[in-house]
Amino acid sequence: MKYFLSLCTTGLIMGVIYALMALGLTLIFSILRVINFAHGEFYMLGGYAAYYILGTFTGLHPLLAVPVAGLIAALIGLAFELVFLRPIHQDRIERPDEYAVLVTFGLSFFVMNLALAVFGPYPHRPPSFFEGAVNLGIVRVSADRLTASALSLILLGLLLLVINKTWVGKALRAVSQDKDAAAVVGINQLSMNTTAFALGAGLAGVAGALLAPSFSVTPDVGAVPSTRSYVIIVLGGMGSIPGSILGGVLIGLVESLGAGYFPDPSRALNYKTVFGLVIFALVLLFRPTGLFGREES
Amino acid sequence: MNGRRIFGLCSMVLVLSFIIAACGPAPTPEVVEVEKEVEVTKVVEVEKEVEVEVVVTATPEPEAEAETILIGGFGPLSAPGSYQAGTEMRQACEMAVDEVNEAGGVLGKQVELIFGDTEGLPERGTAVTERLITQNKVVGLTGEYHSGVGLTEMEVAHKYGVPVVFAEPWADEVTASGYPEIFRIAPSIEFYSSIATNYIAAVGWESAVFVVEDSDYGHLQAEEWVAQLEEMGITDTEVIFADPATEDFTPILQRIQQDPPDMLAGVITGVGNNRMLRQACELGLAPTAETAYYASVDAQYSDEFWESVGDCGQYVFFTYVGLPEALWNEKTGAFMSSFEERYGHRPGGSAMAAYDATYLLLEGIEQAGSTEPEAIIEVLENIQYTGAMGDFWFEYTSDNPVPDDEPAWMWHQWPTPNTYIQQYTEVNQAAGDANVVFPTERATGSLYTSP
Repeated sequence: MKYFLSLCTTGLIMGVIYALMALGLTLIFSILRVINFAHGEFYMLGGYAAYYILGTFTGLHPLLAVPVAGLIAALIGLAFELVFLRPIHQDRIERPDEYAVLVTFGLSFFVMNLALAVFGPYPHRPPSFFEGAVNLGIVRVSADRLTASALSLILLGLLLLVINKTWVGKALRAVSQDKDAAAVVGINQLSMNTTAFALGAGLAGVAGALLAPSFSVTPDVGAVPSTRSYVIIVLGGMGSIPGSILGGVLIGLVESLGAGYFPDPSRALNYKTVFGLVIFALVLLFRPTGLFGREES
Repeated sequence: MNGRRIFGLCSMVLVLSFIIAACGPAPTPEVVEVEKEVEVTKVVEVEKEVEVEVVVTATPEPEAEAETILIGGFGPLSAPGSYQAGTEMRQACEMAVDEVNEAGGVLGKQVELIFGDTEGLPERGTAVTERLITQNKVVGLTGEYHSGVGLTEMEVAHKYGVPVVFAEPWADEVTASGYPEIFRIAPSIEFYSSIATNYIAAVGWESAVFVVEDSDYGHLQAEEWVAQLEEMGITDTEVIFADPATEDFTPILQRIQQDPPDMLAGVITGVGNNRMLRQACELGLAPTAETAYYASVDAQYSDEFWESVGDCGQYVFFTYVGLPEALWNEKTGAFMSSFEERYGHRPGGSAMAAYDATYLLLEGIEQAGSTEPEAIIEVLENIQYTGAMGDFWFEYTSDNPVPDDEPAWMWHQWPTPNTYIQQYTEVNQAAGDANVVFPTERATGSLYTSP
């Protein structure tokens, strides 16, 4: 029982962080109708930003670097959206779907290889938020990971508050539901697009900064979380914020329990990602739009 | 800005990204001008009737002589390969070539290195080697980090008869192939494993769990360790495979924690090594008094190691392939200081191996007096050369085949690659200061210091 509970704790902790990163991707898709294939690179940039901020301002507590890293990622995302994605929504692109794939993939390759050239091939790790581990009764958890998870939970809560209770959040939801109707009531779709993309990139950057003390940062560190995020947003339902949160937690739990109980321990870790994909396939079999997805009219 | 301009700009971004991602500049094809001379004989009338044969001959075209000697290097410079090691290897090869050129080059000519990015993928290794040989016309090859990639590269080199001095691939099959072109200065997996397994037996551990990367190297390494330990009577072993890009090892570490072994080994190249150690430490699994921790060779990159693992690195032991500082020769010291000065980073063993492999290849060309492959191979088989890693020679060659009672991988294999077990006993300890703990005849500290 203790073993089961410890695996669940590990899975929940990671799941919340997965949810934060996937939420960024969901926001971007639900508003812009664009899959951001460079999402993992914003995660990576957030990690590097945290590392270099703390390396420059050595007296700064590592927690304070997280929002700054998120802001840097958000600003880069904002610039990218203004230059490369806004033309889609100004009807200046003939084949917008193919264009969006091309440009986000291009950004992904460009940023990853630029990071390799600028930051070098060696892994880097910013200082821990808090050293050591914490005993949660039955399970021992790294202080860094617990901190990351707690902050992710707070951020998710704040985001839900913004989405549901503020004007900006309502405007974002309006655009995601019906952009024409939103325009009729005076919501500027282009501004909402930029806001959503910047917010999504910022969330990925925050996730990267939160996990950098646990996993270190390398130029290709965003590849795995990025792929996982795609699975989560489809599992949760494309464009659904509650779906992304639940999907992230579910994937975290399934990966942890799968690796912990798979009959062949030699393969258990290798198949960790597969367990999530099995759940993903099963859910789509019975609910093709995902857990909370809505059907396209 | 209209849609077409936007599309053009985006295409430029994509193209720019591919350019940055490209594995290196393609050499400019050399343009050689050839002058053709034709000699014509004239018929001259003489008093006597003499029959003169009139012959018009064309002077043979003079051979186009290369201005430089081209050698090829290969290794991982981007993901999913271990680009940290690959980048250091490329830097070491470039440094070796520059030093040789400053000293006058080889055969009176300058040397040019063309280094191909294999990305750690066997199919890329094949493509890179084909390009280096058939398009770039290199006269020899050196480098490579990954065993799986080396195994494909050697097939291409063998097809074209081009000599290769491998710096790092450890798979036994690399030299067990018996290919005349293939030489290796790195240890074979069997040899490398024997150092670790003999150490485990010497300390007295009776159970071990190996978390190894899911690659050719990882599988071969795991099989060898388990087999050798079984021969020593240590049968309580378990192997767990992990993708090198794995971030979160916690679930499997929690599983291992249900029955902690005497020794936990993380055999994953690159950043995965440090991640696993930190997570094992945070869980309280290892390194502890109950469970020792064996890190992969990447633990030798002490700056990044301590930055990543912090206090968790104390008491970790690892295998080092190269010369520990206590055993440096003159060339080792010169290499280490030159590399650090040039690149701002202390090099690992892979860099030292690549440096020596490049020098060996160039020395082979110089002593052969020719860039003909057969001549280079003949020289390499009989070479005696002192490098940064020690004295090189190849015991088993075409004149002295591998006997039946020796392993086949001894063919064209440097028989004494320096391989040691080292242990960090203090936090933030430099790799050069870590005690050599095994083999005992070279030890500078206790066999094992427990937490």
